[in-house]
Amino acid sequence: MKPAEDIDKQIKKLRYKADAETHDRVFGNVMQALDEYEKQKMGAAAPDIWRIIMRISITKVAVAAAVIIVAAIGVLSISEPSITFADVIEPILNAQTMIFEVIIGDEQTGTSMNETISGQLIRRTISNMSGMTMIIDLEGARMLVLNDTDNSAGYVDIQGTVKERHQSYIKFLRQVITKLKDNQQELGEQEIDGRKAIVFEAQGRNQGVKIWADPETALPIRIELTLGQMFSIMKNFQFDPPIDESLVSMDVPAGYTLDKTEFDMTDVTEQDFIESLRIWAKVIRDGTFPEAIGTENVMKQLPVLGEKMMSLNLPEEEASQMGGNFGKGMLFHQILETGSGEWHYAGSEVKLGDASKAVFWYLPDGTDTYRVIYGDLSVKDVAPENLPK
Amino acid sequence: MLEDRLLLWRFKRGSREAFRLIYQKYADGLLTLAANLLNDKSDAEDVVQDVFISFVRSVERFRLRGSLKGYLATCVANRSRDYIRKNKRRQTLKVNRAEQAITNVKSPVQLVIRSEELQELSRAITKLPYEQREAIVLRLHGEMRFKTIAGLQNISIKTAQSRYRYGLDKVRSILNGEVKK
Repeated sequence: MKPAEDIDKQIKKLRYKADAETHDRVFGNVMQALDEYEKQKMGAAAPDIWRIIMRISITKVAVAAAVIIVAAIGVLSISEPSITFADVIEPILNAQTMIFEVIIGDEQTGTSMNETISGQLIRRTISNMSGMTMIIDLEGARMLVLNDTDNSAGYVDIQGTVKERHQSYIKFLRQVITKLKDNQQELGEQEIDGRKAIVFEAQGRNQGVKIWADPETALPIRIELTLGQMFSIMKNFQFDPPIDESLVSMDVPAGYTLDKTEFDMTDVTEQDFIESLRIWAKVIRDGTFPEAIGTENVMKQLPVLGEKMMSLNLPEEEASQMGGNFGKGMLFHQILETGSGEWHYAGSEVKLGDASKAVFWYLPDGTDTYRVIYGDLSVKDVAPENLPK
Repeated sequence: MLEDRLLLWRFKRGSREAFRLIYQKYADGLLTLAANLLNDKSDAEDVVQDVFISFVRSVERFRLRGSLKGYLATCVANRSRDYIRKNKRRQTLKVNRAEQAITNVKSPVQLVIRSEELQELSRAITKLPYEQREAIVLRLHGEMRFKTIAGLQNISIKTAQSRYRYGLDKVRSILNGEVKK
């Protein structure tokens, strides 16, 4: 080298090119940090957004949308026998009241619901919708929505599809116990949340259940349930706790103002689903279809929808209708999601209006032809061999 | 520039693919910058990783005023200086060890360059006072103007130019001395 000449050019040659492994590690660590940050942000921010929405009292039916969606989470159509689990969790068969937590989706990022059940009555609160309580009367097919922020209340009828597909968790667990008798697999003893537990697992054609039970009392500690493509975790169980009747009363509490809230929930159609896709793409995602749909994602998006409706400054009635339509349409998908029907979502990053790209297709019961929904929300009947690749 | 703005726009709307493209575009350049500033592969990776983590966490509030490359390079420079300040004792030990066994210790840059002459050059740069090394590295690898370097070092533009020039002169001297050996 001639040090006196062009030393700056020589220095520019001193480059460090990291190998692929280094890049994978650094990039992976950054993505992990981003995931953690988003989890924290979601946990911290969602209730605040919700509080604002509730305080200005414009989107009661964004609330109702959530009610509609989560109302169907009790859906169960266990058809496959499986684990001999009854001996272990026999106490549950006799429980008349129950308190527990349900997390829809992953434990770290999913939305959590606290359930208090007394017979056919359920009291429900949801983690990302602070200030809102739902009392659900399964027998009467009605819900009472209480907004603690402005002391308002509203009734929602859940006749039709929602009623048909909804049942109490106690009934649901009894079905699990009694129907999954023969294909059980004991996985032995494990430690969960600092406690020893016996673990059972059973897989059906379209359902799977994994149960951690206390080896001393035989009571369930945790249940992980897969219904179709929906995953949920149930934990923090209390069986037969005393429950004050007022907690599950369908009467409007003293001091609350009753709003008239009406929804047509008698039937949920493909057209409702298409409308909810339109709302998701146009309102929530500024013109692009979401990366994924499904109950877990819908529940996470509800505060965002409320926030967007606020920013659009929509009249209350229009906002209410939009919230209701969003929830109702997604219920159509939830029925597919938790059932054994065939469906596929391919809308990630597709632009609303793009007729060349299919965003969703499913096989209606009793047919051989798929219904394919495109980016412009048109629908066509398509033979299996012609489905998008 | 426009491409960076589009990538940023997409990333702000949740596209991780957009961030992956930003990473691919700038990671090697930033690692080069950090490696030349810190003279340690692991530290350089830590700094670049920290810069990207800070970037993804603040992207919602981020407003790009100049170039994204310049912004990220400035972050690496600031963080490298903080890193050295916080790890001064460790750095001193490292330098002492390096001086004791200079022929055995290779910087991350030296590890990836085959030319003996360039390795000598890299070793010479590590012997510069940090301010001079920083001025040279930011100018030649960060492609920063002296005005920007002056702002970063909280000095006048003339002083930044002097540090750069004296640094290069010193590198030449060191190399001449080594050549004489």
